[in-house]
Amino acid sequence: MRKPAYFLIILLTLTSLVLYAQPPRHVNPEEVQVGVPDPKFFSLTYAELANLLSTENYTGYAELSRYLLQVSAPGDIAYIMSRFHEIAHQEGLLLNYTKTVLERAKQYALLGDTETASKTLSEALTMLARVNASYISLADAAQVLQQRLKSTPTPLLNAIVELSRKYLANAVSINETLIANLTRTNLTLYANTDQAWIGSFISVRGELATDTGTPLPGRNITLLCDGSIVGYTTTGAFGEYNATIRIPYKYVESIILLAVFEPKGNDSLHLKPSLSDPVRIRVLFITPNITLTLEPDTALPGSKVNATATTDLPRANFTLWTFGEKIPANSTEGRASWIFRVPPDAREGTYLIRACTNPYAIYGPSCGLAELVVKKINLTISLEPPQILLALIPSTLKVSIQSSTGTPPNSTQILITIPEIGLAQQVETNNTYAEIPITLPPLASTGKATLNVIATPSDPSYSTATARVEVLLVNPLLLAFVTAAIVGAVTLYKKMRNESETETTVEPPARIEAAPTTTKIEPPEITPKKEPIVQEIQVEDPVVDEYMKALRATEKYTGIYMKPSQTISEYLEAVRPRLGMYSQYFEQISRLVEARLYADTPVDPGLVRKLREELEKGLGGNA
Amino acid sequence: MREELLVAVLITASIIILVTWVYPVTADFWSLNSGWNGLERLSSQYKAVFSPIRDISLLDPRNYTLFIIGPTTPFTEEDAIAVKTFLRRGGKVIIADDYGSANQLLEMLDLPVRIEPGVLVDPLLNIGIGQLPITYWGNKRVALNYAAALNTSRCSICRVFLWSSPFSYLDLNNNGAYDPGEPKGPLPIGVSLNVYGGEVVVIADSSVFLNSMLDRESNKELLNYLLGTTRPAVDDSHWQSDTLVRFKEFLESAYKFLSLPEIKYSIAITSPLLLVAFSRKIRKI
Repeated sequence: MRKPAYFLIILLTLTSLVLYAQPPRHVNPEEVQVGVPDPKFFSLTYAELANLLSTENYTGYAELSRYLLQVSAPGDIAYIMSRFHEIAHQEGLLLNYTKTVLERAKQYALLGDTETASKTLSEALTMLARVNASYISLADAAQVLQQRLKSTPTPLLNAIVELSRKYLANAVSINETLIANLTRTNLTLYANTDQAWIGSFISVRGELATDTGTPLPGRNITLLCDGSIVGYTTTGAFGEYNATIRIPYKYVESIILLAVFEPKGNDSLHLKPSLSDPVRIRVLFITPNITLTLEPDTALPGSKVNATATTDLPRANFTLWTFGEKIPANSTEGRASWIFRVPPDAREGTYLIRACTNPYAIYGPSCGLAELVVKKINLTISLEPPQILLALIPSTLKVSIQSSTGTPPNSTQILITIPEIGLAQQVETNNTYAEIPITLPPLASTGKATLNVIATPSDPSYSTATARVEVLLVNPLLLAFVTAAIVGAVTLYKKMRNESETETTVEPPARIEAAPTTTKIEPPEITPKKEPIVQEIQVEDPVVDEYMKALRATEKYTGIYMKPSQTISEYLEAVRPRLGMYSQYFEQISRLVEARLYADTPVDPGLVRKLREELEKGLGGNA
Repeated sequence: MREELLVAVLITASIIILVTWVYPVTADFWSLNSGWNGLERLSSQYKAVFSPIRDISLLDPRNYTLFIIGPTTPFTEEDAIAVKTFLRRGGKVIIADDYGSANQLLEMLDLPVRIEPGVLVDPLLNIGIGQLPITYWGNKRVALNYAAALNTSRCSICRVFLWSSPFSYLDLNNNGAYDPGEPKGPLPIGVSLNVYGGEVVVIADSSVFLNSMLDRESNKELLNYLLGTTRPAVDDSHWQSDTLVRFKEFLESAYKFLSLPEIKYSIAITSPLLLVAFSRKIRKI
């Protein structure tokens, strides 16, 4: 007995462990207890922020610190955290701004614009002062955070301090340049042409001198093209310089040339740097003409299209861009061809197809465009619905499909819906004409409804077609139910009413008026037509009493109750057919009671009882 | 005696029906569940239709968006064909799952995206605990509940629209803490793919549209965006069945039957007659 119990316990434990291993699908968010965020994660995030700062990646820093501003935490922890994160975020912005302003100040200083450089430097120093001011708050917030959350923001603080020091050093350096009494220099630059072929060489020349006109020989001049260094040269005995520059393979309209003088060594204590005026050179290259033709220019989804590109170049490397795909091709005698397929799931519309050449030597890039119209074959549906749709009885819906080209699709899925009764039926047909049996559900309601038909061809080159038509739904089952229910209810009501009225009237003890037994009824005065109603029957008379018992048995057997208006004879006639062979007993009892009541004839109660017992015996046996 | 028995049976049946009607459904995702884990709000506010996939695929995709939320039972080939048919007619299908049960359907549909095992945890950006992370739909925040992440490494046609934050990670061993080797955020949580002429949206969380989650952050906006002008049609054929739910559904069907015009008016005509007749009978008893 114990073994199975142990086994059961082990089984239950294992089951619960397995269930526990599976995480819940979800929990009620209202019932979760908001916990303190894991300090380990904060420490890791602060280390990452410090890393971003030390590499001066301010974009990354701003993105990550912005996420931190949204961190949720319970109670006062939230305020402590958000204070630290807000200041840290602000510090990043200030440091970034300081860096930018310092760079600008340095540029102005290099150009010799001391006034603007001084202003900009002053702005940078103000920024640095704000960084320092914020840092005091940040350090305070970090201390509280460390105490409450046990996370370590020290690397972040260190990184901020390092950067502040670095920027301060830069500012000092720029300031020293500005305050030094340096001699201004002038640098000129001239090119031998204002336009040149791409990849070709051009000659440039210029002079370097002080602002008083003293030439500066033996100085290094850097030559820049669109910001990139393209050469170095040294000034001659009269401060003049010459150089040859190659126009880079940049297929652009024009490029800018510049010459820069940066004083080095001892020069930096006497001379100011200088920059020449920009020289614009127009770049010459050939843009090939490309003509792209598509055959056909209107295509079906899934179909093939021929593309031909021609160019005036002897050879070109083409790339065809179509429906997000790149198809390379080499040209032969300036001609390239492709065959591409329109994606089967492409939607109808106009698509731009382009064929482009890759640039080489003096031939620049170029593209030829062509429009491809993707159009599906239109389908139309004709419907011949039955005039009346009967529930449970299948009706036939005749559907014929025509295409605009005359060629129908191989296979079409036809969806029939009647939203009012939730009917949805789908069939597949391979023909242009289909007779679709529709069977309404047994509980479809009678009335007007809309029958929708959607034809979806399996071939994607055909469009989907829809049609709708109004139909009349008739549910004979429900209508029969309605009729039966109403008829049944009315019948039941009538029956119950009759029963109720009869039973109420024939209640002998309550309704029979007690007549004195001594009352004699004169025979000549009584005619059968004027028989008294049953209420006048004397209940104390044993003969009458026996009749009443026979009457109840008869009523119960026949289901016909004696009405107040009926006489004994009339009632006898009413029940006679129902009583059959036993009617003789009830007839004899009825005659005897009539004789007793109306003729005052002495009747033997024993005889009546015997007849009544015979009647009850007979009726009881047949009941 | 017979009449008394009939009355007793009627009263008992009425009580059972009444108790069943008012007793709340607690099963996950059901439309009748108005609790935190149900989809009653999706049903009532967005007039969602709850049906098996095969029936939904017959609906007009211009009016309905198919939702497959938190499936637990396997998909059949017929289910996949039904989904493809719906897509071919230009429909949109939203698959929201975090247990990976929908991977079978994704495989049948030849889609190169999978739901990764594990729980998405964001220890810093969440709505209470790390397992209820905040994710980002552009600049908007979407709250999730025990979500997973998606593997889109082989999916060149996937457009990721929902990302987790850089602080998040996928808790593979479910210990609630980050372990070396566990994938770190930002992780793709929701993607969209244009396939078979329609659109499939996969979200690595089945709970994002629950009653208790709909008002969180921008969840409702995301639902409105996904629906456009359509109504949700939710697949209810891949959830574990619940006896109470089935009985409630039976009662709803019975109510629908009684609401048919023919039945309704028959009852209206016959009930006064029957009431009068029976009241006489009862008075007599």
